Amino acid sequence: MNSKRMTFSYILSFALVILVWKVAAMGVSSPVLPPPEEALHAFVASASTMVFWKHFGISAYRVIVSILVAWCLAFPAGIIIGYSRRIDMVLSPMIFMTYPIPKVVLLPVILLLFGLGDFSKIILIGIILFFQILVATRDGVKSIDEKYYDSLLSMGATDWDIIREVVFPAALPHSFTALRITTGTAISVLFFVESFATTSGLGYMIMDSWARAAYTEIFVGIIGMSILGLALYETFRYLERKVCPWRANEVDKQDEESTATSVTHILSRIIIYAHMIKFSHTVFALPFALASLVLVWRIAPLDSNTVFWVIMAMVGSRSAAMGFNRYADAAIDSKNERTAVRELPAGTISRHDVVIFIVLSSLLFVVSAAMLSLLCFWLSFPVLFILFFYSYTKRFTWLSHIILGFGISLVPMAVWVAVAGTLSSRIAVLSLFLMTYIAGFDILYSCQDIDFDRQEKLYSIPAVFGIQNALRASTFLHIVSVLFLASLYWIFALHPVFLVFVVVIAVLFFVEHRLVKPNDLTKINVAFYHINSIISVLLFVAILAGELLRGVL
Amino acid sequence: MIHVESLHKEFDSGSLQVLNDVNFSVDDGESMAIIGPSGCGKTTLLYILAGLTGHVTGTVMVDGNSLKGPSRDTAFILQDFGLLPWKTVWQNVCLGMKLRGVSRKDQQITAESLLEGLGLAGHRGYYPTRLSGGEKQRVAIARALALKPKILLMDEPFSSLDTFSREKLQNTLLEIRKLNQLTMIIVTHSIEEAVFLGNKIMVMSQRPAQVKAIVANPKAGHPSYRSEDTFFAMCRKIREMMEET
Ligand SMILES: Nc1ncnc2c1ncn2[C@@H]1O[C@H](COP(=O)(O)OP(=O)(O)O)[C@@H](O)[C@H]1O
Ligand SMILES: [Mg+2]
Repeated sequence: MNSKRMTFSYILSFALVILVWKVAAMGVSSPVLPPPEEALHAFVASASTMVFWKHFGISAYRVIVSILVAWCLAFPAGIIIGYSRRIDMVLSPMIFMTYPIPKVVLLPVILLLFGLGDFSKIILIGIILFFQILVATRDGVKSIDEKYYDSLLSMGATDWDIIREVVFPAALPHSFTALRITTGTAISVLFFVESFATTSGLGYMIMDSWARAAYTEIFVGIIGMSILGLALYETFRYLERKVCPWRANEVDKQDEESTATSVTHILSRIIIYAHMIKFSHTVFALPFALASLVLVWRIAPLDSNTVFWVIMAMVGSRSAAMGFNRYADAAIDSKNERTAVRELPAGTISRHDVVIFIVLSSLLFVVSAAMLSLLCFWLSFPVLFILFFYSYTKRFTWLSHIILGFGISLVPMAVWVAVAGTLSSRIAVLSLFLMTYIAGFDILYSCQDIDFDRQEKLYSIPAVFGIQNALRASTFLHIVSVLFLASLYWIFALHPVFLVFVVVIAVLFFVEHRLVKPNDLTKINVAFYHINSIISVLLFVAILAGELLRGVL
Repeated sequence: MIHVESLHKEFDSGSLQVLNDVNFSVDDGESMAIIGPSGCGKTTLLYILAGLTGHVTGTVMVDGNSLKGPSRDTAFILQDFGLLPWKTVWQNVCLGMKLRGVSRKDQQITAESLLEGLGLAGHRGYYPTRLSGGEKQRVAIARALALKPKILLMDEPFSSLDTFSREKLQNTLLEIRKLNQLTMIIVTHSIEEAVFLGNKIMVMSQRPAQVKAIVANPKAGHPSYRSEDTFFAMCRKIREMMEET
């Protein structure tokens, strides 16, 4: 995985953990399982105290020293056992016989021999890691291809030459992989040895909070341990790449292979799906929902749960709609050069998987709606219908652009219904802005596909009326949309600063329309798309500023 | 000169007979191609000549001395080249010199001129996984030549290459041999390769391998030979011999 994908997968898994945690916390609804935001808040507060870092530092010291000592002993031993048949014959049976025995049971003996201090803790963690590294190194040496030995022997190499030039470098990555994989074990044992007879370390912190029934603090300790584990894991990964540069590609490959059986597999699939549904688009559609929340705030109180479920509903509905769109259009997409690389036509994911994805996303949407209110729950079904229906409109009407805009323009009204429980003609103006804004852009985008659409007998304004007219229609829609936007100033009595933002947005529209010419569509590209994201963020900022400054100045 | 007489080799304590009474000799500066069905014992024979496989019966003499282990004058290029994946091209080429205690400065001079000559100058920092088959083979050749051997043993050196790179490298090998006056033994399963590269072609039988015939092929040694009628005639002759039982 490259670093960008890695960062992305970290962010995604973090989001996933938070989501599951949040749901669980709401389900359990007990102080034992505080909601994630509370735990994170407590963690941040803790992280600014010396006490926390003292515990963290001591835990880190114990586990790092254990790792270093274990590696320094196990790696050379593994090399010797792996290389020398005779020593292997004597020692391996012993190692393999004792391998399955959990070394933790040695704890009482170690405590009796070495006392209750850090030394005992380091020895216990060290012993456990020692065997893991030893076995991995030995097996690594055993797996070296004979031809490397032969090749060196033919040049007159001695045993020492072979160990130095072949065995050592070949075994090194195996020992690093073992280190990486045993990080989890190391941290578990660390927790175990810190859970008694000590007054320092993250393990102690957790147990102490438990004894005091300070449930949120337990999670501070847990988060601390997770961070320690992750930091170690990433360090080993980094070292493996740095120390074994010839393996840099293999480490990646391995990662991808091992994903087949692990959580990261699911994550990498999620990344593909996220790509499919253009998750980033959802992020850029979020400002519409947030802006609506700001406006509805005035008439109804907001709490963090509502905000959370609104965002979830947004993610669910967007994902379901985009997934369905890809599903319904797979056959069409595969014929169009521009879209043939999309995940479904390209075969990166199967139709079967997409259906599951659509079902899960829809479920997230419906459940989120249900969490908001019963009315929302019932309304979620017609909304889903409209979102799915859009995918087929291209096949019979050039109004498809408007339908798309209409689908997205449901966001402000939906938020209003969710929070205030009713509809309002005032918020409908924001919806009208969105509808004209999105429809206008969809027309621009579909100019790129004019030839294809005509050939496939698909309906779009450019395909039916020609590019020139399409550009005019788009310009018209955008002028109307700026007017709708501006009118919000009076409708909601916003602060005049709002109008400043409206002017900026209008200028951006203007720039975009200047860039596109009937004979030159090449400017409808990534930059264009970024300007759109900026506009959607600006919309949110405009409304937020207009609302917050209202009455202040 | 290499002289082999009534050589026998068995594996698995006698239950698997691989070489059965093999006799041949190769003069200094001569090149011999060994061809035979796969599994007959060609690689085993090369391992014996490289001093890597012992426990044989019969005589193996190199320059008048009986062989007892790897020799400084012999370089062996294994099938699949045996390049170390954790060493760069440069480190791989210097490896043999390093083992023999050649000074760093001399290593540098030798490696530089070899890489230059084999068109690998731009690849010195690459790891083998990044190289194509032909490039790997050239690195292996450079590593062997760096030891300034008199005898070069090669096990199916070009079998994994495409026709174009194979012929190019075969030509390179001819030049190298002439330049360094190498004695060469090449194992191959390609008839064309055997005829193109071997002054002598040793045809072997199914396992346990016996020498079916040693055919003189005096015209080998020039790139233009490949398109001559005598070349095709020789190929036909070898093919017939191999098909005989
Ligand atoms: N070290 C070994 N131990 C046992 N059998 C071997 C060994 N090396 C080779 N053989 C066997 O000897 C036979 C000849 O092998 P080899 O010399 O590699 O054949 P070739 O190179 O002609 O294809 C094969 O049947 C192979 O399995
Ligand atoms: Mg072979």
